[in-house]
Amino acid sequence: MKLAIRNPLDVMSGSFLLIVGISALYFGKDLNFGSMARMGPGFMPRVVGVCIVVLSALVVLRGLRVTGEMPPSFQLVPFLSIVLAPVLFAILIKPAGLFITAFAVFSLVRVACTKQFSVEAFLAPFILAVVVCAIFIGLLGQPLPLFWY
Amino acid sequence: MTSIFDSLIMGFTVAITPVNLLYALIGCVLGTMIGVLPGIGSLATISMLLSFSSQLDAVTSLIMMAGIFYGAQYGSSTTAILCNIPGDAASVVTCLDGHQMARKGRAGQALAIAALSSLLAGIIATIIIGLFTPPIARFALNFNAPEYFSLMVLGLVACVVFSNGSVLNAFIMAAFGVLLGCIGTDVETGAQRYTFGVLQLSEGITIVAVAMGLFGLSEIVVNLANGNKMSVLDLKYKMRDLWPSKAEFRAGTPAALRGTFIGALLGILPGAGQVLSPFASYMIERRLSKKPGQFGEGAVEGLAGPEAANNAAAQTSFIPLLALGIPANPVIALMLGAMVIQGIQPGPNVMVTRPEVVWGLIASMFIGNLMLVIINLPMIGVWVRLLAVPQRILFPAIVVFCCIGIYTLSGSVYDLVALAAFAAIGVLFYRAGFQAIPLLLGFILGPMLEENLRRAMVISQGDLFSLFQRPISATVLSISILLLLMTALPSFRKQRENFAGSD
Repeated sequence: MKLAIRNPLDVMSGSFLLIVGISALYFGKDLNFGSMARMGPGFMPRVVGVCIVVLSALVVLRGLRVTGEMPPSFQLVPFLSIVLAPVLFAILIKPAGLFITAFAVFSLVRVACTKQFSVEAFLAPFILAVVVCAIFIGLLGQPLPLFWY
Repeated sequence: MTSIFDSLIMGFTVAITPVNLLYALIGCVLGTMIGVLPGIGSLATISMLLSFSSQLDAVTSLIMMAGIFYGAQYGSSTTAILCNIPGDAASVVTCLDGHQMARKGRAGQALAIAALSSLLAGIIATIIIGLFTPPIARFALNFNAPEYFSLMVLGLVACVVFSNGSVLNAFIMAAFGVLLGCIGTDVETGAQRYTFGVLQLSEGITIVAVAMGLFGLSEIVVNLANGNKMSVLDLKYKMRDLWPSKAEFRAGTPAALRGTFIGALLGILPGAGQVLSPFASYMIERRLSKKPGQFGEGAVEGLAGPEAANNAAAQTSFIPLLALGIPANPVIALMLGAMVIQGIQPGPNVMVTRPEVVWGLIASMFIGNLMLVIINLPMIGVWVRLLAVPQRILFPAIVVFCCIGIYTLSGSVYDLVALAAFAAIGVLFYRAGFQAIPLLLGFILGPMLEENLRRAMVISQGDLFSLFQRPISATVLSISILLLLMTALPSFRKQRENFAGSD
């Protein structure tokens, strides 16, 4: 049987997990395995690492032999805007404070939800930022900076 | 028996303190809300609230989370009946006859039957929890590391076997979860595992980032990618009359009672018990009915039975958590995580060391179920209007709350980065056909699995087969192996695919 990529998703995810398994074994190589009666810190990582390597190799193989259906095209905008939202929050919160951070994160996620641009694009994040600051700083007294200082 | 009665009274004194009542109400309202909104489940909501709950008392936070969990069951039946959209997998069955009743102008009665069946089931199931948790916990006090290890293996295997999609994929995800659970300081030896010298990693990845990323944020991405499904709304039903007729009561009550016992039984089982229970009840009601032709056309039994089964199963899935410290489903697994965050070591000892937590939670379930009927029936109009809140406001607000929640938990930006990473993992793996639930369960159970295996091996001096020499662990491990072997059977595979397809 000729090998060809019949299910790219399986081949990609399998390869990724293969890398995960191999790096688990590589970076865990200095952890003491111990013995069955005295399991060291390296016991579990190694057992699980081998499991992942073997099983993900099977997934790659499956991708080479069984044709899979390709799901609808990947939508990059929702993915990026939501995955990057916590990162944006992490970058902004210390220097800019909660108000601006909440405004910015809300706007970033909103981009993924609608293409519509009106007064709401400014008003909605503004109201949310006010509400969030009132709840977390005013009501709950969380140690978050309101603005930069 | 008197002790159970005394314990319940003690539980009620905990549950009716104003703070606990307030959080039970918050949980029930939030649960109803997310249940009504399609796309956001109780798993996502509880994972997002984990960060806030750690600032509450242990009982209070568990009471709130439990309220969300069973509140979502009530809420999702509203959307199922009025809009024919199942809020979660378990309410697929509610759509069948509930929506047909609504079509025939009996929407109010359908909602009332669903809520009252759930109430009946909730109260009976809570009594079952109160009756069965203490003896099981007492029995489990004799359990040792081998028994716990086997029970956790069973929990993981059941999750893998009953998850949607390929068993191989689910297995890898579970292993990946266990591996992620290894990150941090090894409790036994103090060795640093995969911390790469990063101080923040030495305490391990927080379960909040894992759960919130995998279920909260990635669910939003998936919802957005699938397009807006909420637009198909038909709200011309009138709520003139909520109270069901005598004939409907006569048909519904026995069905609800049967559903309660089916659900109570299935809910205790690890894996897909709760999701299966409404389907099981529906099939039994149709078989028992004198007029099976009415099913799918608005049969009262076909609504009352599955609704009761669903709620009963949601309640009794707390029994393994409270008695053994073993999660029966992913939501319960998160509550287990919440207990650990609160410094409670889950297991049969919780009944002895923290009785106020266990009995307060049980008592709050009575109160919560009553609250839910009041929240759901007279205020139904409010919830229906909630369906009109546009996603472009709802989703950004949820993401902002998630970020603040996780940041205030530790004040560390590392947790935010971990959150982003797990959101990405959740979306990409979901797309590639890998479910995140086994990963979460592996992550939560992994460290306990390791600890118990280690202790079991110390006891038996490294003899792996000693696990099969103790009757309980041998039985439990055999069941796990049988379950795994079953997945190789062609007929079981077919059933599994059919079930996944109906999801």
